[in-house]
Amino acid sequence: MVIRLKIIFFLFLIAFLTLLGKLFYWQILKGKELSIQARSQHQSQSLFEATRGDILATDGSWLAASSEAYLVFANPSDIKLEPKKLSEKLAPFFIENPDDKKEILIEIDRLTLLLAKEDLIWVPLKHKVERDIKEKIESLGLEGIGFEKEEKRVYPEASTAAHLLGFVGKDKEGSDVGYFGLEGFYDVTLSGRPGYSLQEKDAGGLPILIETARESSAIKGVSLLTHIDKFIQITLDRELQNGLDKYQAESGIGIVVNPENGAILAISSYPSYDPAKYWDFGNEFFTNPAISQTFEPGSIFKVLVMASALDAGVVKPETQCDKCSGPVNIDKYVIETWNQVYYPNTSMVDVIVHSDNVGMVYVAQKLGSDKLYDYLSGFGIGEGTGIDLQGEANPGLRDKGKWGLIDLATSAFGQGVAVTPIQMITAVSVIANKGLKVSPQVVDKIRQDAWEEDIKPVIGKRVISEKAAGEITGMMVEAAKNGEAKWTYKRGFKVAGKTGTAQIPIEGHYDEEKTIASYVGFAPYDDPKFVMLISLREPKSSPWASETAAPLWYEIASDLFVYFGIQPEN
Amino acid sequence: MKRNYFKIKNNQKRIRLGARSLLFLLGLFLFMQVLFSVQQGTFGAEFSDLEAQSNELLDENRKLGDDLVRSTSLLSLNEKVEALGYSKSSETLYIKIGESFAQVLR
Repeated sequence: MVIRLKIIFFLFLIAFLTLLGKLFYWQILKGKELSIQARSQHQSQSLFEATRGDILATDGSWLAASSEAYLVFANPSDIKLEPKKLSEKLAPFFIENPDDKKEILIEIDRLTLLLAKEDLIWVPLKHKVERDIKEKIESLGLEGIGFEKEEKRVYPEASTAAHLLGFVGKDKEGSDVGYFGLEGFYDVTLSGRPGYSLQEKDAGGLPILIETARESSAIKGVSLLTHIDKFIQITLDRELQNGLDKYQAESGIGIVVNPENGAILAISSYPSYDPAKYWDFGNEFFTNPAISQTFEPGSIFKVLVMASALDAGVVKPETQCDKCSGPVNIDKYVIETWNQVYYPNTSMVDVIVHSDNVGMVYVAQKLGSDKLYDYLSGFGIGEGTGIDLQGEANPGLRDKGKWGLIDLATSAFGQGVAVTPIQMITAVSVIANKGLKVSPQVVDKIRQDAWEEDIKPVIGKRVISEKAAGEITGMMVEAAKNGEAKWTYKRGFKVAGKTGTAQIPIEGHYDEEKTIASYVGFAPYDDPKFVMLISLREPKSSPWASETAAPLWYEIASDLFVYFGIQPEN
Repeated sequence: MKRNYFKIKNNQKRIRLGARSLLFLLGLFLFMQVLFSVQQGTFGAEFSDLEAQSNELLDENRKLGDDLVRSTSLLSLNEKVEALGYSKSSETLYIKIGESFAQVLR
């Protein structure tokens, strides 16, 4: 009896220990793995990508939007066809030009290599495939080929405003990231927040509503309503491209701004790129020259120096220059006028009209380097404009107190000082805005569904008095009417403008032949609707701005006059 | 003796009644459980169906949105205009008030 009891006791003990051991194995050693397996059997987890916000023009139409696209993938274990045959069927859908045999062969090789990997259970074949292509592939009924939704950035106006918009590329983890322009500057705002859903499911895969379900909706990215006017942007793009061909220039920049609130109405630069196919272009195409390229502005800078002198009261429009009868010597340098024509006792108005370098040296010497530095800083030269675009450069001004006589003299006519086009147009906008500085701004409002927030313009301090602004405007009006570019002036339209032809500094000296031709102006001068800067690099038809940038400026302005309803006088 | 006999008889009856009630409650509980599970399954299926419908509508909405984005392209519009034979006027003619600019020919 006792022996029987002992046997039963031992049997129970062994069973208990076996059970304990098994429990230790399942719960401690294999616990994590099994719990993941179990969870995957009764839980379904989905991630929702946040839709990227749109970039809208001022009329609410799209400049950039998110569109639905598909990732085409393969499950090699389910594929019935040979990898090569399947690749031949898919390749024509994955290339841009299905008639290009070379491209097809390269694509077939790429796909065959991917599909031959039998050890993989999921192989991505092509990202960002459009809906109609997906439908065509689906209609082939290929086994083992599947589709997963993803987003694609579309730019309905193609390469229009490419530098302004930037593009959406990938980061190291393969996630979408905005680069350059608005896409780069507002990347976090545009991106939104992805969501997820965690649900219990039954054996049939249907959700069990009584069980714990966790869900966080994806938050769509915020959309940007910009000041960009599609008509002006497209006109500027088209005419700038035509101008580059006509004047055989290497590159060109155009900016149109509303001087009252700093609203950027259009920015264009050529050569450009297609943001939807950014990978086809080199890195040198991506930076926006309008905000990142520094250049010596040449004579368009004279209006800032003259405005400063007028405001400081050191000269008046009728002041006569008593040093303007010939070249002027500064240290070891001789400063001449651009055409070696001299105007003794010329007035300040004529200094601007004739774009007289010697006259400008006279003005700068009257003003002095410290005051000139203060005024230029006030105009925003030497500091970033704060424009809401990624990649703004700031060439900086020579430190105050370190200006030599020659620095003062050359800066008076826009040499030896570097600016970006956006700095230059912002400074001229101060004159158009009657002496008040306004920061340039691309985005007007940010909005999401029913919520909207206005981004107010940043009104800065007064740089020059209204009187001085009026006087320099008058000089610019005379320059437009009677300066070197008078032949292209549109009679009757109230234009204030100034040409600028700057030599290009190369390795310590100025290139004799290569120039940057610019024209900056605004209209109507008594109530400006726009300020426009046109700059052409190395025009070959003529090196002079009066024969290249100025006629191009008027070509574009003619369309803007009609668009803004600006009519000629009388 | 007789009284004790009746007492035992009553207790047995009570136990039987209790057992029956318990069985009934157990049956009811099981029945409710099955009913509840079936109802949950039905709701799950309905929910899944609604989700599918919602996704279908979202898809359709997305497709319409994509078409709208494409159709508002000013560049495409320009291309269509050019294809129809319209061209941009090369010159804008401004006329003074009172100046005649058109004449009806009879």
